[in-house]
Amino acid sequence: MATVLVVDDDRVVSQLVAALLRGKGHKVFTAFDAVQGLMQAKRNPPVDAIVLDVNMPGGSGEETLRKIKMSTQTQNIPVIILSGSIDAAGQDRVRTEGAAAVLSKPLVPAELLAALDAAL
Amino acid sequence: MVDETPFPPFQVAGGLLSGVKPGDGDTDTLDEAALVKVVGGDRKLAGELAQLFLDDLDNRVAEITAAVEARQVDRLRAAAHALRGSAGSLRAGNVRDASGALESMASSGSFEGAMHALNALDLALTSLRPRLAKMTGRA
Repeated sequence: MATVLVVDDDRVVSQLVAALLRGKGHKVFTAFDAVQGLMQAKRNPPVDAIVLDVNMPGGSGEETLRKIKMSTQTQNIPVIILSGSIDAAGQDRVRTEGAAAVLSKPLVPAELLAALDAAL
Repeated sequence: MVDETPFPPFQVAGGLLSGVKPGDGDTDTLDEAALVKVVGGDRKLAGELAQLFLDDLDNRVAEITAAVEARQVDRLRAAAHALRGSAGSLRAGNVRDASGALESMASSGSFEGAMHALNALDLALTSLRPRLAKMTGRA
């Protein structure tokens, strides 16, 4: 069982991901913007993995990823990017910045679970 | 003042949106089987997601409409993107595509056909709302 932080401003996506992961026995925290997400990542150690949206209020997912990877408290947490709009260049960028996986919305449960298994 | 230049009907999943009056089992409006599959057969969870979507819907549509009226591309792009994401997650194809058309319009910086696009979204939502309400058990 892992502790997973889901950062997405979309309550439908957030609830869907959380339910999926809880159904697999994981403990899930949610945050609805980038600032909350960063705070939760630092406040709820040990977070084992983060599922991160790209387009959010309070800072983009890319910025958030950068901050996660720059902080000694969070830099080793694998981050799975879940995005509805990231292009190929953006995918390359976030992979270079340390994303463990980049998934497209709409969410495909098997893809997320496989990415999480691979990241943990 | 919004540009009301006639705009060709949007090509959305399953055909042209204008004039479409889908029935209860129409999967372009809502692919309920696909959604239930995504949630692992948990119809209660599917109903909860439908309720979350409905709870946020009026504010989202108001934001999109305000963005079009104010001709604010960044605001429209963000609002339409948010609705597209939620609708896509729910497997609500017509609303996903109609909001995607608005998002594309904003990304291109053009408001040409914006009123038509809003009407297309409204039409798609008119079909979707009762379907989702039924899933929540409140219809």
